[in-house]
Amino acid sequence: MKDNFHLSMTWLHTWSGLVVGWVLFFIFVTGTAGYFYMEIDRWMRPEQPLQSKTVAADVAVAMAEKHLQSRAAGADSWTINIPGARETPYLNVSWRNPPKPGEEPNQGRGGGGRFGGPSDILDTQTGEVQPSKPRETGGGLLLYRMHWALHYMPYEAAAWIVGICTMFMFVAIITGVIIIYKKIFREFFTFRKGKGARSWMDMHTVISVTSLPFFIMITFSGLLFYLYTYMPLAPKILFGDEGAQRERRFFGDQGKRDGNAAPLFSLVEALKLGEQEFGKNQVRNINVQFPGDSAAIITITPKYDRYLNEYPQLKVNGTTGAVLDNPPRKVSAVEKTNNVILAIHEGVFANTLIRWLYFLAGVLGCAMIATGLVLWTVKRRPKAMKNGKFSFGHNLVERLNIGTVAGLPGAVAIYFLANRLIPVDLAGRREWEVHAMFIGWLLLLIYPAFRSIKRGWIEVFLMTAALYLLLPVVNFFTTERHLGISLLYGDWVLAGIDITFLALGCTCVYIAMKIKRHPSAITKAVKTKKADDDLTPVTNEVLSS
Amino acid sequence: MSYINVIASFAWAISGFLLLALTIERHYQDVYGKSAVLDKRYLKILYTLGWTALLISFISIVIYKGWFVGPVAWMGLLAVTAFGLMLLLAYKPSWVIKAAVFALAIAIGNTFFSLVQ
Repeated sequence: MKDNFHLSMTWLHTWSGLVVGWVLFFIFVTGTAGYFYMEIDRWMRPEQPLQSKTVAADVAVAMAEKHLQSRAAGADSWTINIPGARETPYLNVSWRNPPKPGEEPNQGRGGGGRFGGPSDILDTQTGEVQPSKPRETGGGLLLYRMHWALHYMPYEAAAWIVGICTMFMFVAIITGVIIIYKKIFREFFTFRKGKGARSWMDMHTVISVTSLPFFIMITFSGLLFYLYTYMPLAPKILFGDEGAQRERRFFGDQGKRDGNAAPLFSLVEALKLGEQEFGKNQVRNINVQFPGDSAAIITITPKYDRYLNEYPQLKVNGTTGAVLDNPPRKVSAVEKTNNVILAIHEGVFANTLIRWLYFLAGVLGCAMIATGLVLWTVKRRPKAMKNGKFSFGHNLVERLNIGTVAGLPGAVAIYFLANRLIPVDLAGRREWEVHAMFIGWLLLLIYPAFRSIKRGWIEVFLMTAALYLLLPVVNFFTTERHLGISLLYGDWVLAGIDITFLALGCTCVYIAMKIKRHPSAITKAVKTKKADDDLTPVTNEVLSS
Repeated sequence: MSYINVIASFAWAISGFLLLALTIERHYQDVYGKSAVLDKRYLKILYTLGWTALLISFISIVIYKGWFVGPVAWMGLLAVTAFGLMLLLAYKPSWVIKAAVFALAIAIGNTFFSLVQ
């Protein structure tokens, strides 16, 4: 009975992992890249200036205020981003003009910029506007979006596909824990190298066990994101059916103009009030509603990295500078729990260090799925060799593994290459970047079908390596944002991306060399079988070039 | 200084994991030779020290990042540390003792510094 239970758990683990493994790998790769989507966004828009030079917050605010007074005096709202936080690489000012007659007022949406309004990037040394007309690109955000919305399909369909795959992953995690719970501590660090299937199994287990909290968190919270898609009635009951009402809930009510002109309270003074509240250099942005009106309100927001999900704000009267009563929005315990879980999934609060930990944990997630997929084939090869033939299913899994595990990262590299190589003024270049990625992936999926398994792995890994190693080079020849410039200037975000590309390329070369040099379990099996000189057709399938 | 706490937390995690790894027979023998057997008395001490080190690692990062973000960061830090140590144990078992001593020294040093400040 007990053995039976163990066997059925193993069976469930194997198949729930395999059938959705390739989609999960795609979700994990795009999601892992997504932890740096803002950074990738900057890399993919090389027309934007380099990171703003650090500057005292009050100097930056004074510059921005002066610029906004002359440039956007009649605007409905101003937003100043103070450089220094992850989301604010520049001294960026944006504003929203009053709605034209007959236009729906854009309730509550802070400044312009992000929401398509006018914005300027200021040089922190001179206060001049820096030129910035970025190329048309989906950027890191679009890559990140594929993590939950896939591509080439309606959002709802993608939500269901991703949700079902996530559910399968959850099943695989639970059954995996059941399979090994007795050995969790005893074999916590166990990796026996050079032992074929045993080594793959060890690696798969070790990765899964050491990052188990991360995997459970990410899978469970991943399901919560789709709560309202799977249960569409809930938000209608909670927030009503009206779009505007829902929007107000997200962005808050921002009040009305008074109509009487009144000089604006000094924003530098407002910044000081903010620093008293949140600490020195902790203010991230300042928003002004109705500057120049007697009903003006100044809102000061701190940096994200100390708060899990509730970002406090300081509201100040825009003419007198009196601190306004700003009771936090009432949140139920359920909503709070939900918010915290989602914030942990996204890592909104993560500073550089924690963001890299998230990224590495994501990479381990990719590795867990990859080792699981490979393990499936490694375990079944000896039996197939005995039969002298790979079944169609086995062949398919082997090839899909190569095209996905080794090929998908290459396709992502093609997305970045396309960003540099497609002419800047080509119509629809944003879509073509994505097409390039998926056409590339398709080719990398088809290619292994014409190669033996071992050659397939080596060659696709080498292609992926070449693509990543090419990226900094192409970047050097096509933009002014290459390593030579970013390193000298000290823009570690842009330099970090190029260096990561190089590291990924080198890793792929290393893996390819490792596969090439390492006698596979199959050659060993053949040798010990004291086989005749001619290899079986299956061994040929695996080894020959 | 906040980053001292992060380094301390990392170093305590490495020390703790290595001490705990030595309580496992397989890894003890990886380090001290095939026939080495760990004395039962030391087993308990190693076990206690290992878990204590992990606890201090947790406390260090909570002091740095607070109650909300600290535990999340700690999970990530543990995952990456454990994965690295697994590779160390598999490929360079002879370095384990040196690594443990080195990590302990850094851990104690950094914790001392952050307490003094």
